[in-house]
Amino acid sequence: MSVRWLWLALALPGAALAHSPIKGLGDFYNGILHPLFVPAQLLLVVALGLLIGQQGVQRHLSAVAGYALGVVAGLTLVGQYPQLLAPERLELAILGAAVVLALLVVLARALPRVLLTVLAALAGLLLGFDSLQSDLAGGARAVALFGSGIALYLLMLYPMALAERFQGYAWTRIGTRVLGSWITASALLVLALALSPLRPAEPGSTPTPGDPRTSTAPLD
Amino acid sequence: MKRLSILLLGLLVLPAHAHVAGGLAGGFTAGLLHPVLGLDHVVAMVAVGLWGAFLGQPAIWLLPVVFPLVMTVGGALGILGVPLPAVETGIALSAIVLGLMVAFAVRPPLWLAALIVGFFAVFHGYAHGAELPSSAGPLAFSLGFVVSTGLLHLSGVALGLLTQWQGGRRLVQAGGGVIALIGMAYLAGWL
Repeated sequence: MSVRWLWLALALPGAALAHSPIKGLGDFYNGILHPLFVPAQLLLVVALGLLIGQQGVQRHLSAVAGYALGVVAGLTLVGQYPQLLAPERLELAILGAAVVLALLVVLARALPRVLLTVLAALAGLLLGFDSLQSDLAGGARAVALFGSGIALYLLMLYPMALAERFQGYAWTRIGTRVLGSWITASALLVLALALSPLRPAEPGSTPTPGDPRTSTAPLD
Repeated sequence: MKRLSILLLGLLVLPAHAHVAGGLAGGFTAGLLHPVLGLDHVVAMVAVGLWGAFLGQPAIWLLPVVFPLVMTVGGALGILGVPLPAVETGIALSAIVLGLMVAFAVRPPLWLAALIVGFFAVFHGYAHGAELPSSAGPLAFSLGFVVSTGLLHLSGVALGLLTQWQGGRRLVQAGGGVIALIGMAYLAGWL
């Protein structure tokens, strides 16, 4: 009986230590995870992947290359000039770009190769520039940025492959457009919030009497 | 030995720090649950999908694309603090009107159907959008409620596919009647 009790005790689950593994992951893997924890980045990456896949990967390989080059340029720029753009403005730019690309997914019209390449490069530039982890410096920052670059590239390939496969059937083509409309709607709502007088106050700002901005929540 | 085992048991069992939703995950979960927790929202969204089945191609597939975009207009009005009268009445009316459309298998021209659905989408979007400024993660919240609304539509579309069979068609029409009754109960203040 006592032995059974001991076995039972050993079989019981321990406490769930949520998020603690991330602290010990190291700079590279934290860099890889960075885009997954920034919803605005995820929306833009998925919108771009869906758009390139919908338009046809073979025809738009230049857009894939343009995106990769844009990411590298953005990472290099932010590594050199981390203060060039305010994070809030950068996030709004990323959401605006997500709206444009997702609307193009909804419309599902054939795009010129040059236009899609330029859009992909710009998206990559914004995403690369938004990958800075401000608490890191020197070699650790470079390693984290390298990880983010790899993640940004790989993350774009999944929706791209999915959207291209979805082009095979009428109902799956609609599915791609449905995803585009979801991205457009959620990004537009947050852009409206950014322009609203009810927008959450910036963290650290002093509350003003009568100011409706009572929350200090960040946009993401 | 038995006492020792009990003692060991007490040492091994740790308190459960169970998934307190906050930040990103909390915002998404709250957004995902927001449309689902209101029965009036749920039945109206399902009715959109069901009606699409009666309207046939291309409405059955286009409504889930168009609805979130139109809903954004209402959401933006709610976020910007633009007053919209009788939001809850509009939502209850949407269940009544859309339910009756399904119950009587009404087939208006596509533009008119889109206009009716779009009109009510504004009320639903407004109700969700008004919650956005106070949510823990606005973007995650908005993504959650848009996805949730879309999945409710798709549920309606999937149920609406039953109309391909005679018995299923009657079942879907009866479902429309139930949706209209639920809307009336909300309008009367019984729910």
